Amino acid sequence: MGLQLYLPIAGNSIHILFLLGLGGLVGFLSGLFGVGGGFLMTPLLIMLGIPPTVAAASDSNQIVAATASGTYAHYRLGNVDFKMGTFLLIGGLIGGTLGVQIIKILRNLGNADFLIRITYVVMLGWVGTYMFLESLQQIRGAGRGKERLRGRESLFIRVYKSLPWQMRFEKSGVTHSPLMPLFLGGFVGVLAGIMGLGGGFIMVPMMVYILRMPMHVIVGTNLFQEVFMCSNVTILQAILNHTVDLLLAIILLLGSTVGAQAGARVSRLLQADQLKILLASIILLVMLKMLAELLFQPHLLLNYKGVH
Amino acid sequence: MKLGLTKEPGFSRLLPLIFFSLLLFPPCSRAQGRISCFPNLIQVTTFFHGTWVKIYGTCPSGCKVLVEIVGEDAKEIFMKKGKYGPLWMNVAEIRIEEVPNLYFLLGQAGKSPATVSDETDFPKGKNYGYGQLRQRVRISGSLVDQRERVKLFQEFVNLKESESLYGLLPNAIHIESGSDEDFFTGRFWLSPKVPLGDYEVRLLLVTGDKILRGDPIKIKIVRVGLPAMMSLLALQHPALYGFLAVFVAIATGLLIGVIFRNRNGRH
Repeated sequence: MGLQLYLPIAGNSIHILFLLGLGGLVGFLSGLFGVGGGFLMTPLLIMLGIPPTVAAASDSNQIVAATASGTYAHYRLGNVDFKMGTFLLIGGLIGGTLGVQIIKILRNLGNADFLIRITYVVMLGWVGTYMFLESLQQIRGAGRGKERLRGRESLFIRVYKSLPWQMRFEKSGVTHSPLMPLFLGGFVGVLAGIMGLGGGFIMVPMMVYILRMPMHVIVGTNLFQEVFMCSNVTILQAILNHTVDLLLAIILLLGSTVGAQAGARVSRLLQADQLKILLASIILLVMLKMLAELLFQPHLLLNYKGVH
Repeated sequence: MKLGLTKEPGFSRLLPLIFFSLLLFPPCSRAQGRISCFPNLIQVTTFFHGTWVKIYGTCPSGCKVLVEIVGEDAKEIFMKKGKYGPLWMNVAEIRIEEVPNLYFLLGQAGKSPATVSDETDFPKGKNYGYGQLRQRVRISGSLVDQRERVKLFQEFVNLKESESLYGLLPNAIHIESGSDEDFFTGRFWLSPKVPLGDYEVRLLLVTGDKILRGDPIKIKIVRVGLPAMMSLLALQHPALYGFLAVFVAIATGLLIGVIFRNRNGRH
């Protein structure tokens, strides 16, 4: 019982080993599947009894640590496209600021937690279904899906090749208008502000399929812009909403960074498609749990308004 | 030594009144009970996970003992959940005031916890319990009618009970008979969600239809150490707190990155 940790901003007490375990589990999955763990961490914290707004903001804070660590490693390997990352970052900062303001307005209206939940359900449902179907196709050896995907990409290429100020991004070996990374960064930034996550699980597919960057540069560049984006979200949440629990974030990041190292080692033992379909199943399970909470009558019909 | 009392001109006129008072109120009714608790200063520290508070005291033989733990009156704003299309969401704002932020009623042992209810386990129609709170609560907002008000108060109690901030505990007090008076002991749990502030522990002595209240004692809950420092920083210097949170996160992330890089390098 002595290891129960009192979280002053969340106003609750949780066993420290439980938090370390949760961080370790999400970090392990993150290391195993090569994506950020924010989309799993926030709903799991909510399930543990942390108020949704505190869970989202504190999760942003712990992602800063994880992405800083990852960026450092990728910078040493020369895998960071700073030019592309800067445009994504500018869009992300604007979008993140907008997302935090949206949450502030909705908290005053009493609907912030509802918005976080519904955004999660939609995003987890979309990403989970997409990954599940794509992995299933690849496991079955169907090449037609990829051809269809390439067809769709060419449509995108035609659209954004018509955008102004086309420029070369040497590190990634692609040519784009800066408006495209600005827009994508902004879109993901709004989601990060609302949901309290780095947005990697949305950003990475966009960088693959829309910006057509090479995979090794994508990971490093995404991590680079996430450090700054989540830092911005953390500072704004602290100033505007007072919802960042630093103590919670530190314990989580200690667990997640160690878990990520273990996950990365285990991932070498499994095939890529097996990993992806496993991750997609986890994402869909989390989504179904949150959807059930929206569809079925809650145990309590009264809730605090904007209190944490 | 002079007995000055007898020289008071009005005192002789008060004697019949005092005599009748003694006849009307037997010794128990004079609220002779005493109550104490431990601890009465609760410090919310880094490892605080709630705490048991012990109560003990004396009461006249034959009295039934009840103890109330009452927080400060609070005005709280809630969201009522309702169905909007197929989804359950917040549908209306409700203000509830003039009820305490914490309320426990402890009764004597001998009742089953399964029948916890102020109507069944405690004497009816008295000035305590949820019934008393229901009478004085003020509920405003988008209310439909009186039935809605009663339903909302019950939802309010359900919410507070789910946070362990309200409770009716009929088995919480144990009595031991003494020669002149009885001794009672009991305890209640304060959850980590308990708001900071002052709380009153009130002794109620029940004999027949009469209830007398003893002098209440206070419990104080304060944050100290790291939780106090962090909440102060977060609320009074939010920008500094935000930058500090980012700095700590980046420094920790880089440190762990370096540690694992070195470990991987060695292997």
